[in-house]
Amino acid sequence: MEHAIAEHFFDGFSEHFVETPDGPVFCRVGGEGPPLVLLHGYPQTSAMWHAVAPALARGYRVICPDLRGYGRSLKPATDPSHTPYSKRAMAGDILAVMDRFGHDRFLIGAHDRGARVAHRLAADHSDRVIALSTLDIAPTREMYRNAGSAFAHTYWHWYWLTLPHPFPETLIGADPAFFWRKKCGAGSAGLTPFVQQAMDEYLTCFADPATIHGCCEDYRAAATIDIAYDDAETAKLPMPLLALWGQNGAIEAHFDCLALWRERATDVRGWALPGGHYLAEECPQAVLAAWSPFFAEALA
Amino acid sequence: MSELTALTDRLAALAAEDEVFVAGARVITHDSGEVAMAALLREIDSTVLERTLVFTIGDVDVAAIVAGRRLRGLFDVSGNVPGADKVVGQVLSQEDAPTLKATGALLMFLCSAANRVSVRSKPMDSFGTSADAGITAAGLAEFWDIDPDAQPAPPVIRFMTANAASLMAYMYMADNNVAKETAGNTAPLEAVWKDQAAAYRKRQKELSGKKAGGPHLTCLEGPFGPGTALAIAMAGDEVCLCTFAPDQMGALAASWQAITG
Repeated sequence: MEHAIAEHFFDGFSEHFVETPDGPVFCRVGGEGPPLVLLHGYPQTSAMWHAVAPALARGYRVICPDLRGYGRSLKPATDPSHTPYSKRAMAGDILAVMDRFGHDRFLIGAHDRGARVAHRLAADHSDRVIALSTLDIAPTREMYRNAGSAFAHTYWHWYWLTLPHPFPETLIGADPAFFWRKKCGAGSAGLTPFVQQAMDEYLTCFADPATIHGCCEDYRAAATIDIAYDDAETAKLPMPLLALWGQNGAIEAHFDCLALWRERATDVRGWALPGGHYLAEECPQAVLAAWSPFFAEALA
Repeated sequence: MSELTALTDRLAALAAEDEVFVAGARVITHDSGEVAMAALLREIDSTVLERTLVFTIGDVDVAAIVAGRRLRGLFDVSGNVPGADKVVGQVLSQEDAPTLKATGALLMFLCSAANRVSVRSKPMDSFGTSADAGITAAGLAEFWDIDPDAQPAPPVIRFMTANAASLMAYMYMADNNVAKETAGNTAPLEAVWKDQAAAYRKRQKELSGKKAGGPHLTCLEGPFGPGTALAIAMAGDEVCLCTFAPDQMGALAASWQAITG
């Protein structure tokens, strides 16, 4: 399939490998202003922000890391508890990056898996997060709690990827590009949201067996240790939270997104955007239109 | 500059889609020194109607009275800039060389320390009389000995200059990978360049697709152990490989953004 070629693709952004105790975290950095970190989803990389990051960089210092297990970031060895791929460990990487760039408090915009990392980061370090916006997720714990047949058919990968190593890794590794295209092209928009430069990066990174394994470990942790962390959480997130989701996607179909977030946070607002799951690539202008006033108000 | 050229340049500037605005001000240069002065003169040369142009040079605001493509004088200079009191409110004329010279020195002083100049255009403040014509941009360039066509240094050179105090060692290559300039302990850099640069560029091309070859900065913490980070800055045929203290990573990123963003 031919993909559109983006006219601009992180022009002016620099790339960094920030060392953490567990290994290097890759990130793209651009712009000047209050710090805003953007966290990507599965099975993608920071490239997914190509259509919104440059616009945001006109008013913010935008930092787009690859999560551990993904892209060009660290892929540490795991253990039976999946702790190295817990959202708490992933959040620790993001804090290390923000520390390296000297940012004590920051905004977060996050999609899919990145939004789950952002949720854990905000829960564990609420003093460092000014405001948080999630794209197309409801809280992990509540999604599993409310799971039924329809959910399982849509979110089959939430179960399949958690099967013991090396079952899913071996099957995906047989043809990573086939899996990527089938998985990410299953929505109403197919593969049209993805530009060629991003596809080059996604497929190059996903061809690495360590990435496939890292992604599976992300889901294994989500189904086990992350749930334990969420169950232990007693306080609600205190910072403003903007939940956005796709009106053509599974969150809209299966969940009351705002009600579920209100179980986890005190100041919640949000609405559906005209798109599917990959909102930042499918309808970047709608994401920017929602984020601009939200982040500006949070900083005021 | 002829009337037709000035008009053509102005129309092209107005039609440009890549202009950058910071806090509502239009960025006219990310450079310092003579290049910044030349950018400032181009703004004067492009201003026909009576306006107050507020140039933000670094963190200093300079309000200049401009009309008919001439600078009449400086209406205000923010802060406590040495020498400002001698030129603010003074009408510029060929007959008053000391004021003209002091105005140029003041602007050059500010431009030398800045890495960005932006401008806002406002209705003209009350200044002098209608008989005070001021000096043309070309006349200012000649009197101040400024090349009005001064172009910025290549981006990698500007990056090295801007971060000179942060670089522990560097190698600068151009003209098909020929080392043009080195400083500090370059042995580790030479090893990286010899053994890994080609593979890195190949990987970069795979990941960057169609945009390979554009300006690019990558910083890596870790390859030389704690306390030393590696950076590779590339633009066209230019490459700088350098080491720096990891806590300077944010500053290097900001600098690269300012130069290439």
